[in-house]
Amino acid sequence: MTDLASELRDIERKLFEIPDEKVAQLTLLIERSRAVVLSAAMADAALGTLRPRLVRTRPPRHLTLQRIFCHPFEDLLVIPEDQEKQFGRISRASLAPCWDYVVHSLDAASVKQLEATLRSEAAPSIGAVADPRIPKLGATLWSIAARRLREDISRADSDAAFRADLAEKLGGEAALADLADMTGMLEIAAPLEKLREELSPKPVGKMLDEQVEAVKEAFAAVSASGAGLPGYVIAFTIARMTDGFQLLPVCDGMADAPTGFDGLTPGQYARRMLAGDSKRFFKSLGRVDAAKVPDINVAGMVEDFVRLVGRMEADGMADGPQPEMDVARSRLHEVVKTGMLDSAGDTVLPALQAPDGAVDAKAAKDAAFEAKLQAETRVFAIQKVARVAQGIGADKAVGLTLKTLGQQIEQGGGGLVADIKAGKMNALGKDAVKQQLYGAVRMLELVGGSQAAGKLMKDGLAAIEKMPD
Amino acid sequence: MNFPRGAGQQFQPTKFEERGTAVAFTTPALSQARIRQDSREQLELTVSAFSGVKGNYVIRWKDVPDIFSLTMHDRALQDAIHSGNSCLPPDVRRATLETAKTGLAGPEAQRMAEEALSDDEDEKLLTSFFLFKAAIEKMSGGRMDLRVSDLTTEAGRDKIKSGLGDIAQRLHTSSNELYRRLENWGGLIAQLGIPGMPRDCRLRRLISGISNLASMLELWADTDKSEASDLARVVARVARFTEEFARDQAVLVGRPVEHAERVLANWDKAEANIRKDIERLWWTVDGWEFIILLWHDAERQDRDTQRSAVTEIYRILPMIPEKEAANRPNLQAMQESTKMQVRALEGWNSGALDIEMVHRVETIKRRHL
Repeated sequence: MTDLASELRDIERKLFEIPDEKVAQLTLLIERSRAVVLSAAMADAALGTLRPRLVRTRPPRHLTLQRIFCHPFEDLLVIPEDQEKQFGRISRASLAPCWDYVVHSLDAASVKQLEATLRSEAAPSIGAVADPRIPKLGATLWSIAARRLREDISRADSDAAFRADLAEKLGGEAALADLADMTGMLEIAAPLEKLREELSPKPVGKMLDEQVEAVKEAFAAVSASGAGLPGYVIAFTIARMTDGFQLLPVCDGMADAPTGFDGLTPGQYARRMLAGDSKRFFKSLGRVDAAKVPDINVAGMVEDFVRLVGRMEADGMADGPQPEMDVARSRLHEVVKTGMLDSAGDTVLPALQAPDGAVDAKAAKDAAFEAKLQAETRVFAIQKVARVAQGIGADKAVGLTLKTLGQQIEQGGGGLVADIKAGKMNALGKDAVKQQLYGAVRMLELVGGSQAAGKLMKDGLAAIEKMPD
Repeated sequence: MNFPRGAGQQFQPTKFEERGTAVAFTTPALSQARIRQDSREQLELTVSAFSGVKGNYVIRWKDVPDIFSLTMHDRALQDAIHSGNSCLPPDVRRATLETAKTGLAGPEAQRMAEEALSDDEDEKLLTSFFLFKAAIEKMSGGRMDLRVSDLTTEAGRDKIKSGLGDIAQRLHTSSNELYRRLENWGGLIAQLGIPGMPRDCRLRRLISGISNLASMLELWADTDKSEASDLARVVARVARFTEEFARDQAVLVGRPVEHAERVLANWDKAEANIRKDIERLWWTVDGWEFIILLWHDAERQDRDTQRSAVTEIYRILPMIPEKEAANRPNLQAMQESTKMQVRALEGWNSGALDIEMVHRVETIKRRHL
């Protein structure tokens, strides 16, 4: 098993070369082995590696009653940052104890019958957009589970001893709150399934007019039916979106329509959920380790952070003390400084040097390629951060780093041109010197812009032109 | 201002030469702009109108660096094409790869260019080998035992030439001349190859790529609810049309192998015909590699990126000009289907260079089919 990691890396490289059938077999094998051969974490890692390909191939997944049960609320699932209950979300950690509780609460004969039906149903073919077995079997499971769980949730609200007992069984108050959310989602599973079709594929980016209408209709339908709490329609929608802030004007447009949650209006419900998501994001940023995260991902995090803070400030959601946001901001500043800026020169400048003549040509070429790649990645990351550096208070440091780097590259380029003119590079030949010049020009362009790079290229090529053939 | 129905139609390119060749610039505003020759055989660039309205700007090639703020790579590319003074797709591609080889578009584009140029050499050798083999078998009943290495060594070439002696005599020429004709023929069709080769050469891969793209976009359009789904269907339809057209062209280019003796006997005339046919095939598939790679890149990203990619693809879609496919029954229907209003999801303009946009274009440049 120790080689699994390297196998996974290999698969990742060849991910899009594997035939569809093989992907399907592999997916089923991993999922079926989840509890038997592989640990859940290992199986998740394996599936995570395959995920980009799963999105494209859509192999039939290993279907269990638990997966069918989770289907209505699977979009709300999050990996918890701590033991706190997050509004509008369900912790993955609550899944196993809650499912265990559900299975034991339901009528054993009904569960067995559902399992038998599941075994007899044929899996969809590769590439199928959805698994028709889920709504078919889910209609029964969701309805009986919701009825059964609602009784217990209601009793827990009025009976303190029962509540304490139930919370202990599930592993805590947060899990109990998660069970209540699961129940709420199961109760409106049918309208959510309809809405899922409209809000597909996930994640929904820029919301289309038809999708906005579908959300409003689903909210109104749940409100009118009395079958469940309409607030869950908002939770479901936000969870399927890339940028949940888009939903705020839609929710605000619903004015005071009841959500079923502590007198929250749709707008307040959406803001509370978005605030929870933001807080979780800030907490995760607060723990970023510069050594483990690639430059370009750090730059992406900074961009996401600044954009999110901007949205929150524009909406007034960032008013008042925001300790998680402050921790995240200072952590990002630190990570950018130590992981990106402090070592910028050491990463970028070696890429400008000529390949080492002492080692064999191929090894030297490969080393030069790697050095250039690292240097470019670093510069792209710094430039990406530079656009929003003010948001983490790093604008001066980023500006200074780029200025210093630009000067160093320009100086190096100037030195190269002087050496060419002095005939010191004649032994290398025109082509090799050109390569070195182009390397400096490229880097100067990325760091300092095209004007300085253009001048270096012009001067360099003019000097090379005069070199002996 | 109201334009009469059909306004602008008269200015649509009617031939490949008028449409021009797509240039792999990394400057975002010029990405996939087209180069062509004016009536005085001077190079010029056609660029989509920046305001998003229909129509193109036409700019003298030599003025391009003065009008646009170009990346260093694009300055070198502009210069390389200017020096070559040709806007034929294979010549523009060669200049593009040679420029990428400098590293001015980054190390990955540099490596890709080196690999592509090396692949070109391999395909040339392989095509020549199979062409020699097929032609000699046709003309002599398969008596000559030929190896790939025979084409790469002086001794091997001498062996082939001596084996060609009888045939050359029959064709009233020398074995040296016959060898030269076969070699030229192989060079002309190197990137297409001939049927029966163990691997597809570049142009055949590109044709298959266009076909796959059509299938992928048809599937994608069925799952998308935005107006981009209509654009995707149009692109798929144009891709299908182009693929069929290109396949017919490929058959035309490959057919002379069946009549090798006649072709080699009348080489001057035959060479001109083969050159014309292969050039038409190059023009037909020109611009599609970028589109295929753009979609491959978008395919792994979120839906908004995919919609933007479809819109961008629609903007640069290489339509087959009317006169080139005048005898195709479904040309008009295909052209009609592309006449629709497009609302791009995102605007772009010609301001200062946006390093991230440049990076995005360069990402495509790191790959080839």
